[in-house]
Amino acid sequence: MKVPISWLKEYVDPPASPAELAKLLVMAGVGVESVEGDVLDLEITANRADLLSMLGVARETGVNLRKRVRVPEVAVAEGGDNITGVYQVEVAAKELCPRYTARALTGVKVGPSPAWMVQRLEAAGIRSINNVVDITNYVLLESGQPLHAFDARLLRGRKIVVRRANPDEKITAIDGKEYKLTRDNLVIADAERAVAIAGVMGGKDSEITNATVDVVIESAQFDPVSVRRTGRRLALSSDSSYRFERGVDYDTVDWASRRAVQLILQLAGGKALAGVLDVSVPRPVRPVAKVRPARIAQVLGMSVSPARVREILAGLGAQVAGGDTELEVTSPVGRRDLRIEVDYIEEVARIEGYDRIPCDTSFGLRVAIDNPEDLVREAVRTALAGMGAYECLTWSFAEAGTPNRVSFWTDGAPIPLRDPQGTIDRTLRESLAPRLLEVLEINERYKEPLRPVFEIAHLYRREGKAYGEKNVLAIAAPGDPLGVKGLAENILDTLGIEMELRPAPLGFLEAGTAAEVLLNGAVAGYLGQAGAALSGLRSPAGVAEIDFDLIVKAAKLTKPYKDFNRQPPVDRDLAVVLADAATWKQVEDAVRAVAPPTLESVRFLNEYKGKGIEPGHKSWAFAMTFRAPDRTLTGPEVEGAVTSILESLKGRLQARLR
Amino acid sequence: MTFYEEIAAVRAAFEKDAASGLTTEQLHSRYLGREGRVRELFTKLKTLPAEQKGDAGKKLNDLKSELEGLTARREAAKPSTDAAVDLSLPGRAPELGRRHPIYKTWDEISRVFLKLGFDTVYGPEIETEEHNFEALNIPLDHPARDGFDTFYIEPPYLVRSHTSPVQIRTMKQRKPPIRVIAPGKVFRPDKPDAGHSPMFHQIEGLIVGPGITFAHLKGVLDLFAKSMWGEKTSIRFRPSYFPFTEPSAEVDVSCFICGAKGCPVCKQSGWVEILGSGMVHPKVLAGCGIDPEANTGFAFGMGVERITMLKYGIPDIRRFYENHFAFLRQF
Repeated sequence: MKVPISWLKEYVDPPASPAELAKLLVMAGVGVESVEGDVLDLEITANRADLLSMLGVARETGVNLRKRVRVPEVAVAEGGDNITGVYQVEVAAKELCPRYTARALTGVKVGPSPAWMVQRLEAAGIRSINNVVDITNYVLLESGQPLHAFDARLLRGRKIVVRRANPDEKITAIDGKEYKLTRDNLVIADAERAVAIAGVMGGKDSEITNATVDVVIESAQFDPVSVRRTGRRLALSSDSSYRFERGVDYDTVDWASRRAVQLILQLAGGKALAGVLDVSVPRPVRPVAKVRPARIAQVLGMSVSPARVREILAGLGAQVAGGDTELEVTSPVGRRDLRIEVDYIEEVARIEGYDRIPCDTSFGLRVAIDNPEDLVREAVRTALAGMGAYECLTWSFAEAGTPNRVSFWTDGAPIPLRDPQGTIDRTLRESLAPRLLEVLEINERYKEPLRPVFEIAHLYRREGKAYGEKNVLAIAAPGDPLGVKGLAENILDTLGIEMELRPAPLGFLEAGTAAEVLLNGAVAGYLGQAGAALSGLRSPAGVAEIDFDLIVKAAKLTKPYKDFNRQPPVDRDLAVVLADAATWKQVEDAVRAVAPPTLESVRFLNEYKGKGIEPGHKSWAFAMTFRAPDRTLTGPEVEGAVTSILESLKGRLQARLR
Repeated sequence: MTFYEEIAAVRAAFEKDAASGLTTEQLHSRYLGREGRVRELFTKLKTLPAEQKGDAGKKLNDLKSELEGLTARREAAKPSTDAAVDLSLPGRAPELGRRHPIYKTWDEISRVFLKLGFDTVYGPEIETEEHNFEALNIPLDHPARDGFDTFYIEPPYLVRSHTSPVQIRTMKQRKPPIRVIAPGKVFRPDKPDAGHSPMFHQIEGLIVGPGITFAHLKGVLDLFAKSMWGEKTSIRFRPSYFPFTEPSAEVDVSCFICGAKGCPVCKQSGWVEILGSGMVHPKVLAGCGIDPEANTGFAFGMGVERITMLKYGIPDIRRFYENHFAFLRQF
C-alpha cells in the first residue's frame, strides 16, 4: 500500500519528516517496505484491512500521535429522478453478497481528471484512466471500499442482477482477457449477461468510455471467501479483490458510494438521481467486548490505567462504555479484527508501545529434562565426526521421477508433494542412501578426496491410508563396506549396543556384500556395498541405514564399570594359510572353540596373497592376547593353547601355519 | 655366585658401561639384546630348582624393567643432531570430520533454552491441516494463509510449513506449566534462491502456565539474545500479526555484525530481524483443552538457516544443502 504523505495530510497532521512517520508506523506494527521521497510503501498484515486505505493510515497515525483525524464531509446534491423508477437491482445470491448498493448519475462528462487527482493516484501506484474511473479508484484508496462504475446505457434491461455464474458462462474483463466461470463464481449481470466478476474485475462490455453519459456506481460487500476462491481459480487479483478478501465494512459501503457521487458531480458534472438502490441484510450488530484493565496487566505484565485504555480505544474509533473494572467496547468501523478482549489488549500494547513493557525474568526455575534422542544424537555425531566423517544435510524430497529410495523401508508408491498451483514436481524420500551417495558423487566431481559422510534425518512412507516417517542414521563411505561397518560398530559400541550383520539378498546392494543390520537381535537396517543402480561413483562405496529410534531405545549411555585386569598380557601373532572361501567368523569360531579362558581377544591383522601362497588360498595374520586374572601366564601354558588352536584350525578349515 | 649376586653384578656392570661412554645402542645389545646378559640370566633361571624360580624370576624381571627404563631415558635425553625433527613439516593426526553448520546452530540455540529449563520435544514432519492450520487459528480460505504456502500430499495431509504444530501436540499432551522448544524441518513451496529454500529448519519455543506475561516473553528472549550474541546485545519488539498469538511481535536484535553501528547486514538500521513471537491466542489454548482464563503463555519461532547465515556470513542459503566438502570443511 503506497501512501503519499501529501495526500495523507488531508486527513491528519503527520510528523515532520517521512522518516519519522515511517518509524512511528513500524513501531506500531505497520511494516514499511520503502520510503521514496514523499511516498511510504506499507506492508499490511492480513488482519489490518483497515490500513488498506488513506483514512485507515491516518487513523493509525492519529491514535499514535494523539491527534484528531479529519474525515471528509460528504454531501450529495441529488437532482434527477428517483433511481427506483429507472434501474432495478436484484440480489439472487444473497449468501455471497450481504450488501449491494447502486447510485446513478446522468449527463456526466467523461474526460481527463484534474492534475491533483492524477498526481495522487500515480503516487499511490494507480494509472489515470478518465475522471469517472479515477474517482472510483480514488475513493477506494481513500476509504478502502472498492467501487465499480458501469456505463448505464450498456446495462441491458437497466437491471443489475447479483447471481452465481451460469455453467460455462464467459466474460471478457477490462484487462481484455476472457474468463470462463463456474457456479462458484459470483457475477454482476444485467438482464442478459455477466457484466462483472463480482469483487474481482469489471467487464469490458460495460466499462466507462469517453462516450459514457449515464453512470451507475456500485458499492457492495461480497463474501470474502468467495472472492478469494474466484480470484485464485482465475489467477486474477485486483486492488478490489485484495480488499474484499480481507473484508470491507457494512457502513463504509454507503459512505464510499456517496463520496464517489459527490466527486463525480464536482469533477465530471451531470446530475445525481435521487435515492439509492440498496439490497442489504439488516445492519449487523457491532461486536461488544468486555475489556478488564486488570486482565491487560495479567497478559502484558504492565498495568495501564483505565483512563489511558479508554483514550487509546476511543482513538481507534471504538465506543467505550462501562465502569473502570470492566469496559464495554464496541468494535470500531472498519476494524473487523477487533472482536474480543485480547484484540483490545494487543491494541493497548501496540499504542502504548511494546518498548514500554519491561523484561521480566521471574518466570520460575525449572530443570529441563534431557531428551534421550538428543543425548544419543550428540554421542553419534561426536563419534562420527571424531572418526573423520562429514555430517550432511540433504533434501527430504527429490524431483519426481528421480531415485528417492532403496527397496528396503517401503515398497509403496512414491509420496507426491503438491504445490499451491497443484503442480507435482517432487516426491518425499523413502530412504537417505541415494542422497548421501549423490554427495559423494558431487565431491568426486570436484576432485575432493572422498571421506565418510552421514546424516540423521527422516524418511517417509505410506502406512495404510495415512503416512508415517522414520528417523534414520545413514552412513556412506568410499571403499568396501567394511569402512561403513567399522564406523557403525564403533558408534554402537560406545552406546553399548551389539550389532550383528545377517547376510540378506538386497537387490540394490552388490551381490555378496549385502546384510541386514540387527540390533539386539531385531532387524534395524541394512549395510553393504552400493550397487551400480544406486551409485554413480567411479569407485566402490559402502552404505548403511539404521533406524535411529531403535538406536535411541537400545542405547546405554551409562554402562557399569568393570575393573580391568592388571596381570601382564601375552601376545601371540599367527599367520595361517586358508582356502579363499574361509570367513573370519569361521576362523574366530575355530580359535575360540578350543582356546582356554585366558584368551582375551582375537584380532584380524591382514591378508596376504601371492608368492608362496597357492592359488585359491590366502594367508591371514591375526593377533591373540592371553591373560589370566590372577597370575602371570607361563610360556608353556600359552604355547600349549596355541598348539590346540592350530589343530582346531587345521581340523575345521584345513589351515596350515605359514 | 648365587643367582641374586649375578643379578647384582649385571646391574653394576651396566652402570659402569653406561658411565664409560658406550652408546645407547651398544648398551642395549650388550644387556637387553638377544644375546645380552639379561637374556643369559633368563636361560639360567630355567635351571634353578622349582622353589627358587618364583622369587628369582621376579627379581630378574625387575632388573629387566629397570635397565629398559634407563636405556629409554638415556635415549630420550640424547642430544643428537641427526635426529632433529623439522617442525615445519605437517603434524600427524587423524583427520577430523565435521558437523553440519545448521545442526551446530541448532545445538547452540537449544543449549541456551536448555539452560533456561526448556525441554526439547519433536513432532512429525508430515502433518494434518488441523495441526498446521485450524488449531493455530488459521482458517481455510483466509488471507492469513497467504503467509503459509504449503506443500500438500493430499488433504488433510501435508508437510508442515512451520514448527508451530508441535505447540498444539505438546499442549494436548502435557498440562501447564509447559516449557518446551521444538526444533525441526519445515517446508514451503518457495523457488530456491539465495534467500529461499523449499526446506529449512525452525526452532519453536513455548511457555504456558498461570501468570505468564508478555514481560516474561521479553525477559526470555532478552536472555536468549545475550547468551547467543553477547552481554551487550539488546532486543526490540515490534507489533506484528500471527493468527495463533495475540499480542504478536517481530523481534529484532541489535546488529551483532557491526555492534548496531549500521552495516549492509542490518541495512544501516542497527537491527536484525531474528524471530516472531507473541502471547498464545486464547482460542488456541482453549482448543487444546487449556483454560485461557487461568493460564497464559507465549510462543516464539526462529529460522535456523537465517541465524546461521548471519553468524558465519554465508551469502546463499542453498550452500547448506549442496554438501560440498569445501563448504563443510569450514565448520
